[in-house]
Amino acid sequence: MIEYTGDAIRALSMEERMTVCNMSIEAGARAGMIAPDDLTFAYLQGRPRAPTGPAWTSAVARWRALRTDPEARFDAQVSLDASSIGPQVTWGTTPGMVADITARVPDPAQLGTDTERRAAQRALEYMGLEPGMPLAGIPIDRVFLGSCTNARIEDLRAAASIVRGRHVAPRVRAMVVPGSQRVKAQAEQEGLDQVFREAGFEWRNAGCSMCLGMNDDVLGAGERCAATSNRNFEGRQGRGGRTHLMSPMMAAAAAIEGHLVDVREW
Amino acid sequence: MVESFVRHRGTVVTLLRRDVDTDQIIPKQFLKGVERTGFGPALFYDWRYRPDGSLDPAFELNSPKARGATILVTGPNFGCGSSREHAVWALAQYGFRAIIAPSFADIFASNCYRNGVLPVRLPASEVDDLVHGTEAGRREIEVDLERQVITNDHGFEARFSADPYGRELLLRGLDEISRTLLEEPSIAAYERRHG
Repeated sequence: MIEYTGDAIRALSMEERMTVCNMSIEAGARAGMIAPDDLTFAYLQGRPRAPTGPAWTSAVARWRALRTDPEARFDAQVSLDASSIGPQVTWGTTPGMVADITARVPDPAQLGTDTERRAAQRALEYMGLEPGMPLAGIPIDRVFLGSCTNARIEDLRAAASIVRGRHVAPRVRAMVVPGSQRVKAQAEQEGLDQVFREAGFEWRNAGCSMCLGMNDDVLGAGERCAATSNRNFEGRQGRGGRTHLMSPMMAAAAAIEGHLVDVREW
Repeated sequence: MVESFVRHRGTVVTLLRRDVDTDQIIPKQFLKGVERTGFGPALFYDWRYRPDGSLDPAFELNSPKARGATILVTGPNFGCGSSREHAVWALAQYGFRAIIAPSFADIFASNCYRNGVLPVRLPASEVDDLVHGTEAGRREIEVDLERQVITNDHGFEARFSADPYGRELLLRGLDEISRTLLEEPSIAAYERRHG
């Protein structure tokens, strides 16, 4: 179990918090959690199946108690300076094989242990990358803007703000798959579907799609994809397919440029 | 009911990779069935078979020495990724009874305990000893869940600590439903009190 706290976490919207918690599984945890606060209650109020009237008031009082005790002891504590972390892009075949978009593909020979060296070597062979290559500039064939982790309404708004008035690069096939039917309906109400369509994205029905590749939405062997989903394991998006995980804004910018790019420079 | 696990003597196959994820253990195209059978042949599908469907002789499990192995020794963070229970079914149906690694993804480990497979967490140095022993031909080991110790006939001994609840399930051959039903008298009493 991982609990997230701190200014940077408190400043996140509910949907952003959900993405962080969702990715805890990729760190080997069973769950991730963030103590509820006023933002949480505002998010829940008025939602389907949320309590109403006096039941709401007493529920909120109960939820306010759902905080970690001050004297709680953790197995490990990790402090990160969010302001020093740039947009993250995976270069390997686990979500942990990740670096700043400004970084270069690491050299396996420089890693600490034999197991890590072998794993990184194997990952680079699978991904078709060379040590030292800048991550920005790696050309892509496909873009998958989707998944329950990273295709909520805020994600689609953020991505739409990047692609509005622009067009997907030639030879790149890009698709948007909303995280749920509710998100899809909301996005259409806001006209986001039009923004994506005009930019050359396919606007698809909600579902797992290329996150998992159980339907026909799969990568061919050697195809390279900028994906907003949560997993980049070998074959995850299709046998031999190469997945780079990144945020919705980063994936949107990659679709326009045709290669990995630092969205902050836009 | 699942097959109980008290003590198991078997041969080891090593898969020296870290972060082996459930997409490798059982790829998604095999998850569509409604039965809990037939997963063994699909275990490690993309590694075991070449794209033309023939066995890849370079893959560890396809080595003649790996034939009949029932204990998998592997790298840290085994079973990471998607929490599909099919991953354990595939390992069990292939014939594995125990998996030994420096660490496991948590959801995968609890799925093991509930499906008749023992996940054994050992320090990396002891896993290395097992790997070296296996490479030197000492492939047979005994995993004793009752005493929580792994031994071989050449003096190797490693103690481990299993999750207490998972250990009880395995020792008695229970799944979670059958374990819960053992509490039926207490459940009925509770229902009477709160009826």
